[in-house]
Amino acid sequence: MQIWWRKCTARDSEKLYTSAKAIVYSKKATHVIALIHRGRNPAICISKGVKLSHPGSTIHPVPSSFGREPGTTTPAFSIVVPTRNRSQLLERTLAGLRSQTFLAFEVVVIDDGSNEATRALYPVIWENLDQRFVLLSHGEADALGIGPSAARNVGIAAATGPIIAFCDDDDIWTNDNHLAMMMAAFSDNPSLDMYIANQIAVTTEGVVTKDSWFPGLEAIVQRRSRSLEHGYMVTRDDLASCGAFAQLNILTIKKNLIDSMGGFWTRTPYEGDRDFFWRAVDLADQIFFNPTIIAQHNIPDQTKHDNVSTRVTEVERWILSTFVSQHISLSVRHHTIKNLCNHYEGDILRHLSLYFSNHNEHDLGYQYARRALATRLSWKWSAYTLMLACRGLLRRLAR
Amino acid sequence: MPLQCHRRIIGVIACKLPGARFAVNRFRGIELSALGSPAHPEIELVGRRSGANAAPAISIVVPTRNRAPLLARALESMRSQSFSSFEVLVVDDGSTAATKAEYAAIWQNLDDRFVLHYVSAAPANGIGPSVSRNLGIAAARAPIIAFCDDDDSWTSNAHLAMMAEVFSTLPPLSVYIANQIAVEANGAIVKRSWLPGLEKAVGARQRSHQHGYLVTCEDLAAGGGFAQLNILAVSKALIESQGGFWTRTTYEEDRDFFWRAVDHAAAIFFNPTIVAQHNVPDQTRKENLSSNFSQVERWIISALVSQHIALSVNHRTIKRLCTVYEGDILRHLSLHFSKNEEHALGFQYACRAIAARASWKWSAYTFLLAFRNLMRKSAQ
Repeated sequence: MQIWWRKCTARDSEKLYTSAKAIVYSKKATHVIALIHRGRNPAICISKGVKLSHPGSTIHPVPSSFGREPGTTTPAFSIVVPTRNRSQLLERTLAGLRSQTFLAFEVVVIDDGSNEATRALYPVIWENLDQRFVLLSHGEADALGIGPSAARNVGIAAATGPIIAFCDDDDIWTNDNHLAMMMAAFSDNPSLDMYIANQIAVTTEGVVTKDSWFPGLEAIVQRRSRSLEHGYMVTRDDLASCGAFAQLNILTIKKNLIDSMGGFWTRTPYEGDRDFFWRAVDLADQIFFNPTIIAQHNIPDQTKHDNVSTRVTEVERWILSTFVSQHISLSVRHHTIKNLCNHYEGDILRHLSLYFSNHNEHDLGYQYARRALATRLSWKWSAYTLMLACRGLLRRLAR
Repeated sequence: MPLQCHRRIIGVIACKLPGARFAVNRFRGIELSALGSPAHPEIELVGRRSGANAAPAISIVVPTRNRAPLLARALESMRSQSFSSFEVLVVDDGSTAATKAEYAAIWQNLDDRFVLHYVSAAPANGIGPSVSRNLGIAAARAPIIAFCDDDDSWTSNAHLAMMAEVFSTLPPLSVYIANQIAVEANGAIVKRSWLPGLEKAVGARQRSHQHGYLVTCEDLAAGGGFAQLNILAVSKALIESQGGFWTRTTYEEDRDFFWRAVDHAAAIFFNPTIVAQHNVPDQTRKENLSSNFSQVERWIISALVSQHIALSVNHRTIKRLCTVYEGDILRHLSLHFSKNEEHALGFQYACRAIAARASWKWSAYTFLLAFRNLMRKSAQ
């Protein structure tokens, strides 16, 4: 893919607008920096120098042709936002998206069977939004949801942009230049498959527990020279070696890559994002990492969480997590990712083993210690498993 | 009467079963036939009168989706039962409009014991049979729940009569298991009894009732097989205490349900009389259709289900049975990967198989794989 620029005069601007696939606006959206066209061959053509008095101006039909109205304009990015019964959080998230300085995007909100009360609030929220914000209601009100993974697949299928970004309804982008930086990276390298940004993690008390989501990855790239002002090209081995898993709100992927990997796996209710990320990394050849913080991850209140979930659901979640790891490692081609997943699965199985031993379920403790050994071999853990076996024998003799 | 009267939302069903938190549109079967023509007050009255009737003895839960002809066969096998105090809860999981249109014709032959439930707002690909069954159970009025999937049918007209008799004479009973044959697509009988191991084990015993035997969890675990849903009946109280169908997977949910039910059961009855026919899916066709990967996916789901059962039940014998079964599946996976020249995976799953189910022979095989992999690495 290649990009070329051309100057254009005011006379042909009207025609260019109607045929443009995307429009690049200036920082305050007072004028258009560029129009992006797509030719028959996979080339992006950017027309520079078109002036627009203000966004939404009726002289140019462009802003109104965003969204679902029939037109030729395609946004540069489609941001997929699944939601269910969380109108307040959603409103905050969408307001965050609206304040992005780069404007040529669409937001596809998929409402996954919210109740009537929530759905009644949407028109109020949409009063403050322009036509780039599209709402797809899936299922009747108060239906059993299809789950966030399946909802995202619906959103991806409906997206018209060639590049997909994600933002869940409880996340916010804190940096208004996120999309602008992203655009710079994708225009600089049109064959870029994946773009990873950065975020901080904050507890419910407001304590910042992680000032970077990828300390390991940052340490790796620090020695390299930046390939662009905003960041670095990284390899999948870089990501796998430090176990850098990008949550969806800081992840952007080309749509054709998502289509070729079959979207989100919908078999499990948990960790669909982890499964998606590593299968995408497996197929992505060009990955860009921008260490700038653009989002905030709110860590769920663990104490509250433990109170709510019962013992069974906790164990259930762990075994589902090992199941997801197996799925990733059986789906990907690259050994580094396979190893990473086995390593992670081994950790969870060790966790389960310790958990059962703590709860005096010694048979299960020993069984899961063996399972942990099968996925991740280590001398120390072998010794521990042997000790469990001996203890089990002694216990049997004592009876 | 306006048309809306026929379609009543009965509200949110308060029940602890997973997925049962949302509303079901309830259609009385008899009302449905009047749907097209709103002016049939007498038909509607019949339907209403039946709603006020005393609770039936047995509720039969039938999940269905886009299989009207098969469903008609299943419902016909219920209608011809000699025992009459039952209700049938057909739970339609988002069938197409064409299928729904066929229901009116099917219900013309049925009386008001047959109730059709539409899952309101089912997503395009359905909520799945597990959630559908949980909904059906939540709406059931009888203390005993029997199951029959839409592609199965009962071949014995005395099935419900025997079931009701056993439940009434052996009061603490909570699980009732009947028997079936398995028939291939070409008509060949592949299994004359569904639970031969169990039949052999109880054969020497005295019958606890003229129709069969009281059995224990240990008997069932030793016999190995599990009762498919169409030959199973469980008390509603038991289902509520064990939490209904596990809705996390869409595969082998019947095996998961069966073992968790017998684990909780106060008493289990086995009637070796053949009451149904299981139609074995055409294996060659199935393998052609599904890709290699979905087979692997199915196996790892099966291993997951085994773990879930083993972690949920109290009886050691069931736990052991499930880990043995899981070990088998993992061995299967190991052999599969080795055959497809994915040697690293073959070795990994051999290790997993040992972890779930240790044996000298398999340990030696795993050693051999490890050795071979080493040789392969040094040869490279």
